Amino acid sequence: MAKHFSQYDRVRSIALPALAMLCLSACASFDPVPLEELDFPQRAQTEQAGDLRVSVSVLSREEARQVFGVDLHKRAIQPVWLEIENRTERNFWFMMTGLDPNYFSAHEAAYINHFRFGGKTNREMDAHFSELGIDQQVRAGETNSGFVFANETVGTKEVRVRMYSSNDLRTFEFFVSVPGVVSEWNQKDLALIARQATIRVETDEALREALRSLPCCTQRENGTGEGDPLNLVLIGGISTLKAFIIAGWDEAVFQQDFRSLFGAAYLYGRTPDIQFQKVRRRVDSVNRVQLWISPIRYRDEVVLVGSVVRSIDPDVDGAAQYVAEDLATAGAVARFGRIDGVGAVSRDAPRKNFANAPYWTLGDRTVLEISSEPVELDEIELFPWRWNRLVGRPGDE
Amino acid sequence: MSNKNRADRGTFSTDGVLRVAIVLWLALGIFGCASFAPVPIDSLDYMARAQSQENDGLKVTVSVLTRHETRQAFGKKLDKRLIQPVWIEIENNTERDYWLMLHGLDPDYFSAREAASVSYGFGRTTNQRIDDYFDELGIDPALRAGSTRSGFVFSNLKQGTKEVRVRLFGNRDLVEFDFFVTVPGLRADWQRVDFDSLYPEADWVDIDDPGELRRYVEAFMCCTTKKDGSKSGDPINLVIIGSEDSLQGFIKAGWDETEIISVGSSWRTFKSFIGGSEYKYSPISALYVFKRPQDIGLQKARDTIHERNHLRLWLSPVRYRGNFVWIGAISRDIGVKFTTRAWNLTTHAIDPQVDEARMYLLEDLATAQSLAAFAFVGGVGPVTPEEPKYNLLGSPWWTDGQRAVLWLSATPVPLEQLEQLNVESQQGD
Repeated sequence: MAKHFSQYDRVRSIALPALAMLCLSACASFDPVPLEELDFPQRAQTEQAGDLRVSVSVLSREEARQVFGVDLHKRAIQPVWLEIENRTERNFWFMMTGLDPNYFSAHEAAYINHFRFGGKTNREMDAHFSELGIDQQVRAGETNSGFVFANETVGTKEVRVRMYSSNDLRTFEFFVSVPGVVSEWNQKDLALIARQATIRVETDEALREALRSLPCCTQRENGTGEGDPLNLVLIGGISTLKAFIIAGWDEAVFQQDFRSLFGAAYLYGRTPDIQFQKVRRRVDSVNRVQLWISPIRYRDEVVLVGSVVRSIDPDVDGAAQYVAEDLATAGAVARFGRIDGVGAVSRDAPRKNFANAPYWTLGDRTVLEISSEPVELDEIELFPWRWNRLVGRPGDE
Repeated sequence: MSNKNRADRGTFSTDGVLRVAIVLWLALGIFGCASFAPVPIDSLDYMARAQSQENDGLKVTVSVLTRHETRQAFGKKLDKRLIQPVWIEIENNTERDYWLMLHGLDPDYFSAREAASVSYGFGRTTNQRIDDYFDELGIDPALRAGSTRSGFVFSNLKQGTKEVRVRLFGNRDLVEFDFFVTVPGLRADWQRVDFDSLYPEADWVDIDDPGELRRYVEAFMCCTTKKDGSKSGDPINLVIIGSEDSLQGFIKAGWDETEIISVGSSWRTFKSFIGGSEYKYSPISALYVFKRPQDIGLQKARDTIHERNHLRLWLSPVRYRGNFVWIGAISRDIGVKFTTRAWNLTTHAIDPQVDEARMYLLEDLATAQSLAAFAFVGGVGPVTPEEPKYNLLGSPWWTDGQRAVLWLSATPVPLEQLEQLNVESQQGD
């Protein structure tokens, strides 16, 4: 019996390496598809400023596999295609770090995808990646195109193209929906919802009155119950979405996860129109923002209402302050203020949301007016209300 | 045989004792975890290291806790999760209210509750106590006119020199204090260099003329060498010009210092090498210029130790218009490769297109607003991909042959004011 096995083993000891060799040589096949056969340049977004023109397209996982012959997604690398036309009379430099401070160099992207025993194939791969990587120097009168090897983002990707020339800097900003990933809220007809405005206000005082009439908290589907406090008001539609993307928030793609984690939240009979999250692995926590398009329009701008919480922190005021500072630091906040909202909940007698997680608050709502143009921190204006319950004094209102 | 039996019996009985001991020890261990017994904060001496700055009626004092102090004050788990408490005291002697922007100190700061949650043990009462303790010690960011506040901010760990930026937000007003705190614990390579006695006073050369600077820089040897000055290794592709404290620009841009080779650092390097994890302060090998190893090694690690940019700097005996001139070499590690020239048979492969790393640094310092101007000069000599050169560990490289000359600024320079200079025509800096 034992002998029989050892013979069997011997056969196996020859067969396995042979199989492995076969497999390796098969794995090491590297057949990228020629660029002309792919149509990502057709969906490119283009912006022009003066005599500089920039086009941008982000590859889907499958397209990246075709172009580069390997699955870059496995290493969380996302190739971004750029075409830059320089019709000025100066040489410009495309700043790679402006697009992604932790970009991969072409050789690096190739190296980490090398086959284990593929000497010749790997050299081919190096040459291919290097050939397709963009040349950062864009000379006067020339057009360059090629790829940047960026870190992967899901949902909408901010692509910032910074063109530098001595004492001159031109920035192009794109927001590209990465193909293959569709967030649930992207399927909602936000434009339709946004058209259903019923409360139009012009003055700060009228805005405050309108905000006072909002419910305290998120609701159940039938409009009853009190879930997370509605502690966030953002003025600005598209610019708010951009602001969150610039500040590094991810579109929450899987609403199902949220439902199980936080319980489904409704307002105006709808699930959230827009959701963002920031995952914080070191402390097993998630910062989560849920927003609804309210019927209020302030000087024709959409007013979004919602909640922000940290999944493991009952102090929701801290979470609201974080959003304010995060968006302000990203240059997106034009005005800042606080108004009465949920009503005070003391830490000794916390309230619970639908997922039975406790929270407490001083009871304020943070109001941020979002700007589409960058605003420096020392240019932020305050609404003519007290700007903070802690700092403000009685009578400031 | 009988001996063995006795031995077996012996083992058996020791085993029993051992088992009881282990169970006891485990029980104690669990009990130990559950008991959260921080050392009173007043008994620690981090205050003795505190730095202060004053501006217009505002006084800010900061101190960063060492690893040991963190463990004492907040428990072992905080240190393991790489959370670093920063102590801040703010005296607001103005008539205006301010708000401390925690986000300005660390965009990924932890709230007191988040930091507390990593220290949780078993049992509600203990956790409640931990929560209260952290809440109590966390700083209150609201700064009323005429008041003084102090407390901790829970930031992400940075060993070596940490930038602590204290941003105070007011009504259309922003006051900023920037501290560079060298936290005791990391034995950085530059700490072993006595910069004052590197060169005798007579050896210093003062240059005022841009043309002369260019001649000095271009005539400098192409590459680093072995200890005895023989062979030619990595290209010397950097020249950094700046005042004494302008190297803080690298810290601002997020670069990490490098530990001296020691038993501890070798072990940490080995572990991250095998596990492919991140060890941001790993020693880098010695290359030689001026017949001495680098004075300062800096690195920026990405996900793993195998992917990092690293640079070496040597202080030259030249002062240009009163500023120091550093000679340097930068390259990008892109992975591991086999070599017979290192003890562990492996080394880091560098990106052979070595100019890329030079440009990365330029962009990185510029984005951090640490760069005032830059220029390119010759000196390395062009090397083509068809006929690459090899460094001392056998990695190939090629280059356009240029050196980047970078003028650092201690005050922030916006990107649109960054100047590319023609070294000869350069008039002021």
